[in-house]
Amino acid sequence: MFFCGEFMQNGDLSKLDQIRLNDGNDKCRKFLEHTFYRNGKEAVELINDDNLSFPTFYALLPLIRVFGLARYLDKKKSIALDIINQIILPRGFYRGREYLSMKDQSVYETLLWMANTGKEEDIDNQYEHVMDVAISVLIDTYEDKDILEAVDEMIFKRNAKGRYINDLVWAFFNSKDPKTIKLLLKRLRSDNPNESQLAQKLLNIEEDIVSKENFCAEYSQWLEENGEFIYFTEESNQYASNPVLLKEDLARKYFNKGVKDYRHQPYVPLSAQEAECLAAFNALNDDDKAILSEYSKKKRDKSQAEWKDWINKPIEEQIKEALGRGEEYI
Amino acid sequence: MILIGGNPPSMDSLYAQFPARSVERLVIDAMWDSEETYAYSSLEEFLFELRFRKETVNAARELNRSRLSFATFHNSKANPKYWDRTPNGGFRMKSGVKPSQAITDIFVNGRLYATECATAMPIVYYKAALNVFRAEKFDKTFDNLYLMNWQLFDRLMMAIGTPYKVKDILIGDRAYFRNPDVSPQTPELQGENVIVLPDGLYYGHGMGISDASRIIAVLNANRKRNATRSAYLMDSASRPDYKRLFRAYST
Repeated sequence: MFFCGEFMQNGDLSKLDQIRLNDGNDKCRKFLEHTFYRNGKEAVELINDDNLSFPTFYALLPLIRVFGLARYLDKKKSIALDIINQIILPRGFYRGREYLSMKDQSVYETLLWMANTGKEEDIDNQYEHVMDVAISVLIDTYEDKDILEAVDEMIFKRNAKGRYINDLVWAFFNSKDPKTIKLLLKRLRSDNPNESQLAQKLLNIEEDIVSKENFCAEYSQWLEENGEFIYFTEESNQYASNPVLLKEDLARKYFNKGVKDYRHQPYVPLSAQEAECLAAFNALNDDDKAILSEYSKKKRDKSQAEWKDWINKPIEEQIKEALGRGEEYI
Repeated sequence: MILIGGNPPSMDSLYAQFPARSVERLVIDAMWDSEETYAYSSLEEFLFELRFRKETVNAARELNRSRLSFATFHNSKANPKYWDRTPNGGFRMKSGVKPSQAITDIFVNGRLYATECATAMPIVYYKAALNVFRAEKFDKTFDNLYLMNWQLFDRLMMAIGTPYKVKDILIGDRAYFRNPDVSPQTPELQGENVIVLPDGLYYGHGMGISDASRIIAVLNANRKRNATRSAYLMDSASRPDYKRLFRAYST
């Protein structure tokens, strides 16, 4: 995997990238324009350079359109051009192939190129829109988890500049990968107050944190111990100012029927007795559900046999025991 | 049920104040028939909320007619005479501008504005507040407007950004249609924020005024490949802190 920054370090930058990074977008466009008038084939070769970065390609789009170079683009850039058009054109105006709606290796490689070489730049609002959708499709359609570190970087960089982050954040959590939480806990420990404040907000932590180290250790432990019962709520900033990020499935915890994929899958009872038990559990208030499920987990961790005896008792007796002997476990 | 000063109100005298099928009557009926207790310290406080809800409905209908365009935050736009577009796509009121004029301009010159469904909600509630408070009081009370979904809200309106599970979704509430299997290409259609109107209708910016089935159909048409979950109306709502607004109005 190559990043634009890495190109710079190892000297593999394309000619057009070198000009753009050293002298700016206008000079880069001028250079391509002069090249085109002198030798059209050479202009196409410059664009089709394997080392060309996505931001430079994006910056040159007006010339590519004006000079009618789209038909000469290599496969990756041709797909990228269609992807951009699919994203930015008003609905109903795009007539090309709907690459974003399919699952295809070439599309995947193009999206990776866009994300990996384009993640460090914020050319304009439209560019950010294109990047947000590319990232979102990579995470959702292609289930790419390797991109999450880069997305974390993008979110915090953009936020530092006061730019729009909600769609990136949504895509980030849409991965439903606990790696996102670990990355945010790392940000929470940052000495940079802007970073730690955003991490706190994204993790939906309302209380004042006295010791960041202790808090993160406890949070990580909770995540580790309850991973099979925790799920991403799919709430976002479009819905609420402080969306809830994670929840525990208390019914699954109570029945000891966890699934470690961080998606909400309501528990389906396996027998009539379980169905009765689940109905009684669901009728409890939230506090009692939390106490009972926590007690159930602790009891099971201590002794499987004792837990089986307990879970088969009437729920009133279970609650009585959980409340009476709770401190022993909770 | 409704309690005013700890007692149920006289329904006859309440009904007498409002025509049948009015927003106020519909809200009174919904509250009265509810298992929830809607408690007010005074009749004035209760009437204030009814009026605010009616003006919310009016503001939603007005915004629907305003030619305000739908755009994602990346492509949002505002009339630079009254608003600065912030780098994140929000609108910050210019200094020296009257808040009442800045809000009114969105409704008068809607074609100069574009935003997405969440930011349309505070616009509706601010306009409702303007209609209730009137310009002079509104300008004193809401003197630092910033419009960007639920972020950086002034304290008086903050509550509309915090939905919670409710027994009744009432006329004038903000409700939310969620689209859990939305296509990754259209994050803006992950849901639709709406203002609840009478007769089973909703106002959602970009969708217009329609019933639940049409909103769900539009959201479902923008799901990912192999989607299994339909869009649905969540059983939560958010509403302004009417008691707090009433105190601000009364002082």
